[in-house]
Amino acid sequence: MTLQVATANRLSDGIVVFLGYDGEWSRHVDDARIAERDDDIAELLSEAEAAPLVVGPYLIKVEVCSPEGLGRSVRPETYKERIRAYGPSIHPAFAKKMVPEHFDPSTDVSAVFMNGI
Amino acid sequence: MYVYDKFDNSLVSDRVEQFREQVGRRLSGELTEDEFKPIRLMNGLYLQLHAYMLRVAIPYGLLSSPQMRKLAEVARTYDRGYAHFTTRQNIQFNWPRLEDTPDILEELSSVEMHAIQTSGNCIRNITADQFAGVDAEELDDSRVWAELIRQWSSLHPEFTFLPRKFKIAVTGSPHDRTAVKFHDIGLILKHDEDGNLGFEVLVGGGLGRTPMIGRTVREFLPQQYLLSYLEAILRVYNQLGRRDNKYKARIKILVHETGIDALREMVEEEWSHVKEEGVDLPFAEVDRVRSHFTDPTYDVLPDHDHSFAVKQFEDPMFGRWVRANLAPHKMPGYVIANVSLKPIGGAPGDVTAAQMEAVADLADKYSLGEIRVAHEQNLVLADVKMSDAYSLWKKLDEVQLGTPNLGLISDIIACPGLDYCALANARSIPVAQRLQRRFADFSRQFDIGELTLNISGCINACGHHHAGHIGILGVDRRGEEYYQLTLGGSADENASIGKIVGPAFSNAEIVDAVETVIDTYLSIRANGEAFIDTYRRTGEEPFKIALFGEKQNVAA
Amino acid sequence: MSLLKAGKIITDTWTRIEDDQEFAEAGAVIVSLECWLNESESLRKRNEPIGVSLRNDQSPSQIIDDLEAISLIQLDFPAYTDGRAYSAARLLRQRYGFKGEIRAAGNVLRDQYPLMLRCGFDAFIVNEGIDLAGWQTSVEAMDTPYQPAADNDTRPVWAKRHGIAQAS
Ligand code: SF4
Repeated sequence: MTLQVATANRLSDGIVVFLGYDGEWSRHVDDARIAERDDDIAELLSEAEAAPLVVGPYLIKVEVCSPEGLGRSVRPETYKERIRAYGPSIHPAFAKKMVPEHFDPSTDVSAVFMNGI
Repeated sequence: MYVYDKFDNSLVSDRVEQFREQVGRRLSGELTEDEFKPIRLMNGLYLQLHAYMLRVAIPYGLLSSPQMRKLAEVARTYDRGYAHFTTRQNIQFNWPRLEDTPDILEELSSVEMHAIQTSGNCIRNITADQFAGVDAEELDDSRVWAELIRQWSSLHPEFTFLPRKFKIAVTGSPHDRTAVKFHDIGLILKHDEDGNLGFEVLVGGGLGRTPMIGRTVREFLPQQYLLSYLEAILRVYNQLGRRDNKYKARIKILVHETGIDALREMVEEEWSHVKEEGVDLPFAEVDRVRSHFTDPTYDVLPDHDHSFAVKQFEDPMFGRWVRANLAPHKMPGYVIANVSLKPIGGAPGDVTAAQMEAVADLADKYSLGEIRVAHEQNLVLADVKMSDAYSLWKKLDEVQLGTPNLGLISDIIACPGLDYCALANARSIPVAQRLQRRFADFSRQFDIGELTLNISGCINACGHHHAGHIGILGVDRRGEEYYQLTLGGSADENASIGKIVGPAFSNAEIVDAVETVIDTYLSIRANGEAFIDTYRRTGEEPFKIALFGEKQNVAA
Repeated sequence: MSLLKAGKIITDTWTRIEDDQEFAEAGAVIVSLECWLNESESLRKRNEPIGVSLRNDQSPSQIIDDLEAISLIQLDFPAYTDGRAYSAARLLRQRYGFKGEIRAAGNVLRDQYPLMLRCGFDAFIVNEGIDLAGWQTSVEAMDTPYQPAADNDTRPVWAKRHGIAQAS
């Protein structure tokens, strides 16, 4: 079973975005629309590719964690995509504002990455 | 430094207007990304991991204080308050918005700066010696030639779509600071037996996937033929360089596959025609450019300064800074000050807008208003009076720019790596930071002595890992960040390519591995022997044994 | 496709003949280098204008002795990123003194147009309906080159700086 979401960079500022359930692109991976069945995955990709105002859309694999009482949180499978989703690991200040729930924004992001979140 | 005339200015401002119109066509949807990409790349605009990245050219690494202030202003207004100096003496902004880039380029053009040819398969920014003009040993000022090559290569109609990017370096000093042997063309200024000025011309050096040291294609090229000779080399390369495989497209592969002697024959044959075709400049133009690089009026100063000597005893940190960061100047009473952009735990080459402004002010106050950028991702204030050195250092230190570590283990070269770069396999900066923290103690750093430690996040080698005494290369192993260690590289006049030792280390192991290498060196070095000399004497064996144990003989 | 020459879209009077194709009785034809090398005699006998098309891996040095018989040379850009034909055009114009038409075919785009002009191309096979005014603007944006090339009427900046009339 693979769960996939569609990602791209926004044309206007290059920021990493994810295609959401409402058809809008969001900066936050947690908002991403998750496709599981092959035809849903194909549809997700073709929708992403047809979207204007984003650059280079593609699919990535994710896992979904639901820490107790914290709602859904989406975690890209590869470390590269995690860095894309959460922001550079070296300047905590530049990490995405709404980081995944199991990810304390006040932590030194690089330390968290080193422990393999 | 070189000052634009009306022609230079109109070329750059025409280019800004052209790009503004092109960005407009992209934002309106008239241009697709496929059509727009080559255009934005030709203007230095990449799309990186998190955002666009704008690379601005700093021709041969030379900046005036107003230019530095403008870069600070751009960082603050259009970016997130910081920027990154690269290993090619350029500067990168990590978060510009596409729609702002024409404005950024317009701002830059007001101080005679641009982003032309900072990307794409064309002739890139020319590298020159950061000590040019102030080094006592220098034969001639490499900036003069770098500027002439800059002009000749700008928007060159024939060489804008080469098989691959093309990098040229010029050095005028017997001690090479430009990594001249790792450039597609390396130009070493020299005199012939009759005392005429010219160049030794090297071709086919480079790092990347297949690192190679440049070979001599011509022992002596009289100075007046520089451009025709470059044109001959570029034309041979443009026609014969491989275009079927991007990893085999650099001129080093052509040199390797054709052989230097056969290539030399082709170049010389081509040159025998080109030199008659009016490409070379009249002496008047060379003189005009040279007149921009004449010596400033230096004060007549004594060789020594009492307070300078005393302060080194009184303030040991300053003493360290003098030892590591200052270099001799050709004029008595002056020194060259290297400003380290490698504070312990910082991101190598990163500077904040406030730091850029501080450096600009200090350059005005203490160094004739000029700043140079070194390919080691540091800055240079080239004309500092010995008597001012202490005040300068104090003020640098206030803005975290006074680290006394030039040429020491914490003066790490690191590319942006996976924290920014879309091509990366692994992160570079966090590894550099952890290494700096591990070796933070300055007495230990001085004990280890002269050492270059270079980190690249992938095989493209922007962090020059093969050219470091110790090199670290990020690789991806089954979805994990791993790091390959290389030993014995060197970027100076005795250039060598680092050799891979053993299998790669995990993110958790790499810092310990470097420490093992260092401890091994300390235990086997002869008196006063630098790391690279020990390595060259003993070879990799003692290091391999220390890293992997006696019996281990694992292929890399 | 359209033919752009001297800033205007004009009618193409040349016919491209593939290697396995027969020549028509009359009319100007463009043939491959192989065809020219094999059949130059019969082509010359036709007494009609001859054009030769060079692929990007074929050097113009192969036809320098035939240039008096050739009125047009077509150079190919399989992709705009393949810049070999720039060198071929300059060699033909500057070194071999070719006076006929040099035609750019393939991936010929507006942003490369000024570079091609500077290297000696004077005819361009372009997509239908291009924005001619836009193409003209990209040429004007680059009217002070730093270096001499095959466009002898455009003096490089250094010649203008020092009041030198001719680049070469
Ligand atoms: S070496 Fe690789 S990771 Fe580092 S900047 Fe270059 S391309 Fe990016």
